[in-house]
Amino acid sequence: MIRALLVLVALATSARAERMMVADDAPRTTWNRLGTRIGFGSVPVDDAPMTTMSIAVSIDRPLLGTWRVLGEYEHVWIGPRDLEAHAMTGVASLADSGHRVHVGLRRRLVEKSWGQRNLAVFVDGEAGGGAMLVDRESGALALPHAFLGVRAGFALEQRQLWDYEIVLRGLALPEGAGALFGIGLVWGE
Amino acid sequence: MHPVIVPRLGSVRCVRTLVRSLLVLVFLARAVSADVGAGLVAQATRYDDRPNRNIGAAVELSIDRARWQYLAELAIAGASFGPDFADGVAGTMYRGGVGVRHIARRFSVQDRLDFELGFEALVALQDIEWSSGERDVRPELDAGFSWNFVFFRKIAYRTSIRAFFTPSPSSTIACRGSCPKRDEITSGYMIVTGLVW
Repeated sequence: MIRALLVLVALATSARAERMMVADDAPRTTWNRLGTRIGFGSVPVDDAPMTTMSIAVSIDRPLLGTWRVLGEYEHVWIGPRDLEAHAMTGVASLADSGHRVHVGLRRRLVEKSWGQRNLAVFVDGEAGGGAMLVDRESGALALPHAFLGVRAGFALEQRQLWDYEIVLRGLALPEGAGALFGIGLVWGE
Repeated sequence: MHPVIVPRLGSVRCVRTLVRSLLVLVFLARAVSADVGAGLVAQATRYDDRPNRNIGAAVELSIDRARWQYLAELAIAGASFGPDFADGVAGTMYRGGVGVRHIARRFSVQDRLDFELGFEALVALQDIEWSSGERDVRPELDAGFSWNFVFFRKIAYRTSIRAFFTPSPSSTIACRGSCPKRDEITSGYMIVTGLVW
């Protein structure tokens, strides 16, 4: 897991997105993005795997060149992993709920576009940190985390931007590794 | 299968109420140039370590003012406990709320198709009539977002995804042994999805 994270960090910092562009025209990097996401994941708590489900709102803004800064808020439901119960009752299988925030940096790694950039597919890399706060019956839970991940999807671009993206994120937590998988829709102006 | 509740859920009274509500909303909508939506509502949460899901039908009337929509939402749903929804139905929930939605972003494809992002918040009141004859009336607060796919600026498919907060029910059918304290607030996940015109 740590090796994979290091490889992704190396890729994110060394890859020059411009070189990897297939299309001739350069991508617009000044979109102010606002998005929402449904997420599923796992975090270790008290030496036990816990399942998370979440809804999130995210913003990201241009920072410098192709680097962007992102901030996210998630409302999280969390409970002990029980795949059969999750499949049958969804969020109702999770006992507690709380909040999670993420702050990080994001950069385009690969992109291919068609039709004067009306349609593009992309892969972005991202890294950052955050924290989760859950008020459980057994006591409050506060968990910091670092994350490294990729976002892949397609974008429709006209005067505005619309992205459909899949987020896959590895989390490093005090008790071990976690993960987040999300499906999001993002609007850019 | 629950012998008492299932006939009530499918009762003519419920259907009539829903159809009447929809007709009234359509009439009102035409009168004030508003939107009407109809679709499914589903809520999922947990009480007393048991899964609770409420699934049913919802109608919405919204009045548009630029990017703001002022809305009223009515719903009828079966309230169920346990892993199997049909076997666990223990009551009928009548729910009404008012709220506001802000269309924060819109992506348009030649005025034929709009992808809209809305943020919404509602206050609602739940009236749950349990099969035991008990009744729970409780407030509900919702906050979330909606994904709207609007075709030709006339008809839309909307999915609202929200977190909702409500006090735990106090009826004995909803809790085993001692009930949770009335002031205990639980958080749940909620989807309202359907057509808007």
